[in-house]
Amino acid sequence: MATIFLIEDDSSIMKLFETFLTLLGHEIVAKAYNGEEAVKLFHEFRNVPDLILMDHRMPKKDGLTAAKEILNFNNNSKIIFLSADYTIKDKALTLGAKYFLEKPFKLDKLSQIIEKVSMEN
Amino acid sequence: MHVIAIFGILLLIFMRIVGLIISIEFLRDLKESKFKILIIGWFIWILAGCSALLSGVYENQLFSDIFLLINGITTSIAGLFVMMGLFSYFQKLPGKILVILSILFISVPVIAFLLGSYNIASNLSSMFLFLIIVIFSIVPLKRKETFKNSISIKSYYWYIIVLLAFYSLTISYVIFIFQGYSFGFYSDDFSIPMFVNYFLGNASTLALIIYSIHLEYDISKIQKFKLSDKYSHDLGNLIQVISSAAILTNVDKGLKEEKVENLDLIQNKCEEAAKLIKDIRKIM
Repeated sequence: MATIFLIEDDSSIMKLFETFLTLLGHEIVAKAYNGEEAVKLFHEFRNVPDLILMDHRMPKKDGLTAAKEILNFNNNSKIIFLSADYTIKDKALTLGAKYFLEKPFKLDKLSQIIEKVSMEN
Repeated sequence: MHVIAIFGILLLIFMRIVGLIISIEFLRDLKESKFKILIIGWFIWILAGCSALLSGVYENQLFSDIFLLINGITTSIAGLFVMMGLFSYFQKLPGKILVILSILFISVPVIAFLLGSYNIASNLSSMFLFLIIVIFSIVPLKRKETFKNSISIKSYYWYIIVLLAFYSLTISYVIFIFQGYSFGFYSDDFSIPMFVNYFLGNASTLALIIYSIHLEYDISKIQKFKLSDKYSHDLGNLIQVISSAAILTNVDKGLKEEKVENLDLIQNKCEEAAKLIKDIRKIM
């Protein structure tokens, strides 16, 4: 089971994802409600989480910028974008994100992607 | 005043009225404040044309000179407002600049006129106008990539046409002035420079109107895209919440069969809505 860092500005979505991922047996090690908070928290981690689930359209700092800064700090971070901003898909993947899942999606799809990305070296 | 000059000025006034009506329509449709600057610009430009016509009506030299002075001042201020209005599509400018330059464009020629030199006053107005055209045309070209990305390629080409037309007008005007022709070409005798001046003046005004129509189309397209993008994004998040909540509620094994069916129905409809949103995004 994976340790996960959740970044999402919509509190309802955050709560639902957290419930679902916990039910699957994953551990939510941290949560951030905007890109700026996400980067700050990531710098403070002693152990880097296995996966980062990242939204894009967020206040203060967007997901792409936050992902770029996180990857600059730790190139091995596995970031999965969960966003309704389908236009940033190519940018996110070029940046180094492992997957881009377009909202809205079925939760089953999320669990499959998490499993797939977690198994990648 | 020669018939070509009168016809040229009337045609200019007519086109400026068209420009004014188009800007008013744009303001009503798009609610963009930048059109207010353009409206003022076109309106002052119409006044400039009227004052040029009035200068030919009066036999009295002083009255004629005063109307020509008003013509020079209003033309330079109209140029400032129209250029700033068009420039504001590309970059927001502080209103203070508009006020300061307007005061400068009025006061300096008036002082020169009061000191007794009509020629200096009119030349100052022309110089201000040319300066404005040069400044507001060079800045976007120096930041070409940002400018090109903020408007469509058609608008960009029309922008180049407008520049070429205004530069041709400016250069020819300067050459003719050095050859001894007077400001405005309002003489009674026909001359080739008079024809060239009014032809280029009308051509550049027409190009400006076409350019602003293309810009309006760009703004309208961007506004619609932003709105569709916002709705599709927010709707995507809403459906995500409904669908995820339905799935998580369904996890409860103690639910009655009827409730499970209802939750399945919500999930199915969410899937249909998700597909619709993705289809809408494809055509945006």
